[in-house]
Amino acid sequence: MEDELSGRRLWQVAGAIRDQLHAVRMNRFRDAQSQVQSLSSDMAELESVRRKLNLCVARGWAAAAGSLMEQATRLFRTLNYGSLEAEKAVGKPEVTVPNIRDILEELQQAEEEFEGLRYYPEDQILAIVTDGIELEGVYLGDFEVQLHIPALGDPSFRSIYRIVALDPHPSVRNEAVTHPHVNEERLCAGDAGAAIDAALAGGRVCDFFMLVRSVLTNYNRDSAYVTLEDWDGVTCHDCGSVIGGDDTYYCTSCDYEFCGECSSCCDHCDESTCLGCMETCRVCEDHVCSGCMTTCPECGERLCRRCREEARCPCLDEDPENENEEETHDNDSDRTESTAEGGETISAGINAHGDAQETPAAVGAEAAEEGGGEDRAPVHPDRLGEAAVLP
Amino acid sequence: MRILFINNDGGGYADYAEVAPGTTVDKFFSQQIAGGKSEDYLIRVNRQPVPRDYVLQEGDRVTMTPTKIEGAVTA
Repeated sequence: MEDELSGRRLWQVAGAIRDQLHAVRMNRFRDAQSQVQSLSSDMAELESVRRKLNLCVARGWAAAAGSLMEQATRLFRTLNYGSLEAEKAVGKPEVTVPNIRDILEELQQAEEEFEGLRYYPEDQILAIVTDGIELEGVYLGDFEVQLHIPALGDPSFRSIYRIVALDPHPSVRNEAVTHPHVNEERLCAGDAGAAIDAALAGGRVCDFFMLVRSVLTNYNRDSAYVTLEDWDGVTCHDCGSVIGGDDTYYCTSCDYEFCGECSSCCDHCDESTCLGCMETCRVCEDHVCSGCMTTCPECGERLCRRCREEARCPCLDEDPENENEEETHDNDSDRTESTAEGGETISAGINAHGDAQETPAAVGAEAAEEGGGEDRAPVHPDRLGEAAVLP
Repeated sequence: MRILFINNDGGGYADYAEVAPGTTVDKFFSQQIAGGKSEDYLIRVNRQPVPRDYVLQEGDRVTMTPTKIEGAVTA
């Protein structure tokens, strides 16, 4: 239940805010205290190492001294880090806690600026309500900016303030987005972030509310949770129906958005793809996206990458030339190995058409070398006569 | 003379500023917010709206808050 803020209640709220800011100040001191304490403990340990090392040196205990040296090295590293952290903690800017009258004046100013303040005593929430906000012709309604006073001094709170839509007109695409810059009641303050933090740290409650309002009444198209253009959903690029939220499917091939009826998933990569961009592999008959399709280098027909990698294009079965060529390539490589082993010169190469060129003499010599050509000669006896004979 | 200036633009800060006697709010704005348009800011002196030709006084508290701030997905 909200309270009207006036008189004594206003003082109480100002006091509560001041207490939280005082807690922030004390937290800063506690943090510094903790860092200095840690550094001090490390230094005490170093002193202990120093005493033990003295003893080891005096008595000639080399092994123990070596171990202490390692311990000292580790400590120096820890001290270096600890020293930097302690310096940072001590060097944080001083937090000035405003007096209660200043905070009270802030509250009174906020009352005037926003025509009233709301207070929810149970949760200690201080709030203002904006006027109805309309951005680029899209009506978003009025918003309550809620400042959670206990969160001011407690860093464990997820957020200090929330933006609650009182008359929600959320995006069709995401109901949690009630404003292009508000998602799940959290404002992404963008350029106002630092100024809002500074205002809250200084107890300038009215400035805080004004800054939040300045963000809410403006629109940054380049960095919105949902752009206003898509606020009421998008039109399916195929059938033209209006869609939103989880019903929208983005086609990675053509970069348009589609409804569920007009899109599907690639059988291979699971990418969402519109039916227009989906292709059917003529070999495996899988439905795949354009990214998973390719062209057979032999026949130029479309097929999926998987079938191409597995050399399953039908043209490879139908065309004996291709088959023979492949085997010729195999023979070439085998012969190269033979040459290396036997030291004989075998003439072989690739002509301008990509066909293997080899001399019968060379092949015969190779066959003889490999044990009478029992393995090779019977395989392509008819192929030998077709090979080009090099001069 | 010295006034308290609270600039809610950019990082936001509050500090004392020296101003020459007879300085108007409008002039002070152009000195502090280079290139800014005063109509894009809420300017308050001692927490109250004032006319552009208001002459600043010793000890005044001047607040300038932009009214056009871009939010962002990543704060």
